[in-house]
Amino acid sequence: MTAEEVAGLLVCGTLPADACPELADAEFATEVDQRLAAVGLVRALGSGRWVARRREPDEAPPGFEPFHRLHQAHLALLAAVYLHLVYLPTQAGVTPADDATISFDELATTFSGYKRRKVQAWVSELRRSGHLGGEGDAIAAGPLLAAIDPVVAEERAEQAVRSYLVRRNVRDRLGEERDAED
Amino acid sequence: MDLHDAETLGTPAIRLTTAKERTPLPAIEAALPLLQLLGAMVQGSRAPYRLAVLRALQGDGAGRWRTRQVQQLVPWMEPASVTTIVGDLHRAELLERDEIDGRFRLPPRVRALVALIDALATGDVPVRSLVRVIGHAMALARAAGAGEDIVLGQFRSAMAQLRLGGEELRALINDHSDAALREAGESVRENARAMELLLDQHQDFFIAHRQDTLFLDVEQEALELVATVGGAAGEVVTLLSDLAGTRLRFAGRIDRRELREMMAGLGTDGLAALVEGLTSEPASAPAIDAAAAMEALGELSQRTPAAPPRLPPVGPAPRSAPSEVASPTEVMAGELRSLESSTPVAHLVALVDWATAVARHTDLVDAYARHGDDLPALKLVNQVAEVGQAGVARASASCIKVGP
Repeated sequence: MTAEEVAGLLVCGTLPADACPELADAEFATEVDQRLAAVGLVRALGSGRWVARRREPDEAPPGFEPFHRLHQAHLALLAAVYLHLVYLPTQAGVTPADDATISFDELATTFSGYKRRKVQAWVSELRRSGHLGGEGDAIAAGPLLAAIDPVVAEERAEQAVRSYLVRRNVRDRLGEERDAED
Repeated sequence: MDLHDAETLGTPAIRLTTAKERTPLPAIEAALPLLQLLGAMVQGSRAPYRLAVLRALQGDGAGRWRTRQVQQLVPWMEPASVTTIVGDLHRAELLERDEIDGRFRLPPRVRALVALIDALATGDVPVRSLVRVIGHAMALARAAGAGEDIVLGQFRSAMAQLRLGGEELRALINDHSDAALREAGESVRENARAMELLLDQHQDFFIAHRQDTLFLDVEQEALELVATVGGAAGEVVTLLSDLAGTRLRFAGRIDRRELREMMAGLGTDGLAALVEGLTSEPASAPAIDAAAAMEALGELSQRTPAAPPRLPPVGPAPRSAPSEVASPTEVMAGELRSLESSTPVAHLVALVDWATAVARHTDLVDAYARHGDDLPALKLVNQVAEVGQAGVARASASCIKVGP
């Protein structure tokens, strides 16, 4: 395949990592990246697949309609999957497995305030967009989720965990003090 | 209307519940002349000028001044105005005039008050410095010979401030602002350190009152407050500081159960913020999987809507005659009406066994409650009769009277 063809495919979808051995060649990969960068995309590897994702979101003119729009619930669902499948093993010193999955029931527990069917619909939408993978009730990270900036994502997750631990510890300590006063 | 007006407008007089000598009032009244001096300093539109002149005199080493010398100490005010202010100060007894050489001097108590005002000239006391400020006030009170109850009251005020800080920390736990929590943590930690220092500085005060359990309890309570509230505040600051990441890597691992709890606390918006800007919509419209689409269509076409049973037509509700089985009360009323001679209540109810006797007795009471006017007279006797039949040992000696 030529660099032009590979770039064209990545604009339309994802490629298995081993489907395009030419990308191992630095010159070839640079040409693909330049073609993608010309339309605001950046190549990334996630869940064993090559994916072209947008760089920093651009200011869109009024009336622009994206094919997909991620709303807060989508992002929250992606964060939950990331925390379960990537952050939790990473902070325990284990490399996250590419084929790791969590059950839909586990995910639904976090979103217990929403109807189960609604959460199922979000999972389906995110699977179609390439953010999630897996089949049936087994949910995996899709190429677009696996390709997020790991450093920033981990920093944010650590901050959230730190904040959670602080609140829990302080609540426990001050709770003990209140009990002792009572 | 200010407080002074309220006192003069005939509001009810203040009454005490005990002798004045048993209240803090005598000590407070003794302090009033000094406090009135303070009032003379800070009241009125010329107060800033008076204070400025007093501060200038306080800071000058001479100790005695002629009016001209005072004017030189305040070069930014016109000499005639300085003279006016000096006159004010003298009339308010904030400046004394030496009878011999006619020079002015600051009375010792005015010097103490000016020093106090200078110390508080920052305009406000930051919360995080409050315990330290109260600690210095304690030192001042002790140096001025204040009573031990006043010193202890000041100490308790510092403890209350620390306890309030703990409450604030507890309230901020559920606030999602780390910045607010950390700021409160720093403030409480500073106050806890000040409290620790205060306990050290005034150790002799507590040692001198070791025999008094009240002082011991207060000291113990303060130590516990420093340990718990101060400890929690220190933890907040450490974990929310930049060094927390390092500490977290060693001690802050969470398991899946804690992760679930954390995510529940974050909510949808908090979770979404974790990946906001890190992932984006796909660059293109994804191809729809034909097999999946057909499968979904098949599922949809086979789905039958729920069919609840039809509601019955609207019409009047069927009426049914009441049951013809007579109630036990009515049966008992019939038995009572058919009595031909006077009969003790015990004979009427104690027929089969204890349970039946209790039921018949209840029916009898109910029958008289409902149909008393149509039944033979019931002669109530406040005595107990020996029955000894149908499982009934004793019963009321009351009797149903039939005939004249």
